[in-house]
Amino acid sequence: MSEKVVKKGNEAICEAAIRAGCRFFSGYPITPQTTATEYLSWRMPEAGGVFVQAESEVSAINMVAGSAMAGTRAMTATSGPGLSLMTETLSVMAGTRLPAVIVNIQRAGAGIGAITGNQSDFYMVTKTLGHGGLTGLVYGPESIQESIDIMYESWDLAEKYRTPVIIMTDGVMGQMMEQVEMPDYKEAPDLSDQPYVAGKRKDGRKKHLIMDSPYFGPMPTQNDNLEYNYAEYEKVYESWEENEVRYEEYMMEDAEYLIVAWGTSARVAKTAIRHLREQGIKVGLFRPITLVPFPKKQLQAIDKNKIKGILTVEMSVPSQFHNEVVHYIDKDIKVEKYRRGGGNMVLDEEIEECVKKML
Amino acid sequence: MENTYLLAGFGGQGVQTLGQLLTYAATDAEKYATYLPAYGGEMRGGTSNCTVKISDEPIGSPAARSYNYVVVMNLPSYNAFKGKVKEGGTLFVNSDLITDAQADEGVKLVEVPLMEMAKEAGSPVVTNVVMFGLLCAYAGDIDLDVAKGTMLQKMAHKEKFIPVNTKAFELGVAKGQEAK
Repeated sequence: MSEKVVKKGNEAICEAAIRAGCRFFSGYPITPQTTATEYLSWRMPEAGGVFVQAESEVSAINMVAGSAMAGTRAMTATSGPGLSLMTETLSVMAGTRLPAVIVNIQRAGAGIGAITGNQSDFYMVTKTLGHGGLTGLVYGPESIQESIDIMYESWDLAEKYRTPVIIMTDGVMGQMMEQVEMPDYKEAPDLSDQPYVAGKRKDGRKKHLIMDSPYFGPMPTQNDNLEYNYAEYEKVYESWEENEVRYEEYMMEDAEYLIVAWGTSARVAKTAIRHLREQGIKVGLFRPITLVPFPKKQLQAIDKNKIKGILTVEMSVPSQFHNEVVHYIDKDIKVEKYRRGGGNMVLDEEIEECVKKML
Repeated sequence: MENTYLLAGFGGQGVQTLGQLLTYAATDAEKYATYLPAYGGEMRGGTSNCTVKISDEPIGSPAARSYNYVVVMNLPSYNAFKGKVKEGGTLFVNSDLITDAQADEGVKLVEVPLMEMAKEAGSPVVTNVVMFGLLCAYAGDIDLDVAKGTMLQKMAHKEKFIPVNTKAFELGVAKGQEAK
């Protein structure tokens, strides 16, 4: 039986991880992620797993990679500056195709920036994981409930495609509280036969490789194997475009104007849409849920004969998501932007004003 | 129907707990509710605030530019937030710390001697429970029996705290009904 509770975003997503079978967490406290680490410091041992507070994010992500190589469902959580420190190993994980889950509870800006919520790591996470041009599945939930639901199936997807999964929440979603429904506990599968898992095989024979690597393959040289394997990875990424794209269409049926937004910005936009609809303005929302794969075809399909204008909403200055959206929208549709940066929230009143300016 | 609350005071006055109580109680009363704390590099004695929304429908934005109900429990909060009340809304001030309070035109002012009332209930630390009872009675978002049940479940882990919290809640309710 699922249960309804009022929970803080950071705690809820961590509880969902426990229920999804995660039994290893290593992380380093950083605002606004700290309550996630705090929660798992007692909850993970209680669930029979291992919690390690690392000395830095570099060691945290390396422990997560090691734990994944031991066949454990492993995760970490961090915020922008910590994610920057993790990028080298994220690149390794994408390269060796290690399944693990990384939660990025975004804060504002570059460097130390500001500690309140923002969506300014969009490019950093969606373009490539660290150096090398490889990627993983990236999700941008809009609510605590959706972050729970995505977390609950994230290892199933990570293991299916052998990929890191990144869940992008933010300081707003992490710190706020609302009612959610928690899923039942599920067992993690036995991963010992997976090529990336070190140790004994199920039949008792010793494995010769302690890790899988793109250096190995059918080609005569290391370079050729890298090229060959990365081309194979590319086929996996392309399959995501067909099979894993997720998005929401909210009040779009009769819409004449459209807001395009993800995550917290999208939920704020929904309030603005309800108010605008009360005033007779036909506006809807297109919301990407997967940031990788990005819903390109759906954006390309937006009909210029139906939609008079589009407003993108994001919490990032300079714009990131906006530029990505514009790339796919029919050039005959006018696309405006409304964004707030520096850790300031987008507000539904300001979205309303921006939409009215487009009429 | 969606009501927005801004609760502000100095760290230690319990405004975050007050916001969480409203959220728990509204949920227990089968409503939708969100709680959003303001956080940052703060100092002891500095200001603390949070936003609560209570609605009959799922809530989009957990934040607002202006509010139906603004509670200010100290002077810096009054100065920062007195202008954030929607027209037709109410500004609640802790009159023990804020004297000569004034509200904008179209905004109702309710002066509450919060610390005096908390002392009357039996403890100076229950100002937030007084305010909780007051807001429930005044705004009418949450059934009072449900609210009391939630408060006792969350606030009275030890039996000795039950009478003082109950008294604080009831004093708040009486004041809220009187001010309506």
